[in-house]
Amino acid sequence: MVKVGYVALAIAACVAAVAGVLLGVFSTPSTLPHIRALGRFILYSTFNVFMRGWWAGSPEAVTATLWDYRGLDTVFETTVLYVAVAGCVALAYAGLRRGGDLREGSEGGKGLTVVVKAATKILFALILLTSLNVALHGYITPGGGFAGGSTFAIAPLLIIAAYSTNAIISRGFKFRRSAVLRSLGLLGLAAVILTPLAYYGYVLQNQVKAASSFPGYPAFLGPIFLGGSLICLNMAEFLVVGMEYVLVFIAFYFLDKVLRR
Amino acid sequence: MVGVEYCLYVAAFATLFATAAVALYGVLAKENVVKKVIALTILGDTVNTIAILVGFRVAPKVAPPILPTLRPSKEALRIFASTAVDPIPQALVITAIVINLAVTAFLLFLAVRAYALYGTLNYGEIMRIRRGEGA
Repeated sequence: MVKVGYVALAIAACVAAVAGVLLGVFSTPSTLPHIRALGRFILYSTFNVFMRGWWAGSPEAVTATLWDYRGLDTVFETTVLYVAVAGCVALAYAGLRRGGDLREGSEGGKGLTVVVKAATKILFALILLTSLNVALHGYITPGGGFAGGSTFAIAPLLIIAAYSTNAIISRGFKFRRSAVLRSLGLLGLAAVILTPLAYYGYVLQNQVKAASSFPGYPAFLGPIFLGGSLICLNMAEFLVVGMEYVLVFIAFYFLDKVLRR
Repeated sequence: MVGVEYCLYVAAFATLFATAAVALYGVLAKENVVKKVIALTILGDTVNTIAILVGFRVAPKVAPPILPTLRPSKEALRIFASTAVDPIPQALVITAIVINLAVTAFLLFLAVRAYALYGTLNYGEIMRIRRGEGA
């Protein structure tokens, strides 16, 4: 009986949503090829060298949206990520006694065959390189801190699959070390975001703006294209996202350990 | 007169909303907590795809939202702004994917804890045990 009510509710909600969206989007077919004015403005001004009061200094409009035009959104999304991972860690550590239990053991399963382990070692280095590349070039090519960080998270997952969960801990992804690296990333974000305030600029200011005396982060360093604050923010976010995921994996190891007792 | 692209666009929207309906049904009606979480991830991915599709444009020429040159002319910028897809949904979705994964991990941690506490993953069973304890 209850189930029938749920189904009816779900179908009604979806029909209402479909009707609303279809009415809004398809009212006139001729409007389809256009995108919204805000999107068009961002596309037009993101690397508009003739309009430096509005540009973001990055030809990659998505990264420019993430860290410049809608930067505060991203800051709060980072907060949501932080809180979710803190919740995971708290759930894993609840019930652990202080001291002895926190030691990260070196015992582990045998893991998979030699072939899989050798392939995992090669793939680990490749994934590390790819994720760094994605994060570092996030202001010119598709990618950025979030994409690079979640690419990096695959590397410890592979090790967990091929070896065992505590293999990532005995190979250097210690809980405290990961937490410190994560905090360093957050501090880097805060430093880049708050520095313009010292020059009477705006929070999250990237390039030069009217009514602000902050000169903007350098977009070019000689012949090298830097992309203003975007490259620093991307690298800091890469550190935060990657290490948050490593923390989740380590927390799962402890959860397993607590529940096995 | 409606073209092929328009029909495909409507069909993609209809398919995505059907997927969302199935996922919503799974979240509400499934008894197993892990199955609820699986349905929730499907719902999240569907909504992300809908957001990307809303920012897509149906035009003869569609470009990614990345300017291919570091020395653009005014004409190149104008063409870029009139052919590239909307960057805002993409920016929102890249953060949403990352957060989705963290929230899913949190829910699974909760499920593991609940299993350790009640010995079952069945939602109705857990509620029955809780009511029994309360009375």
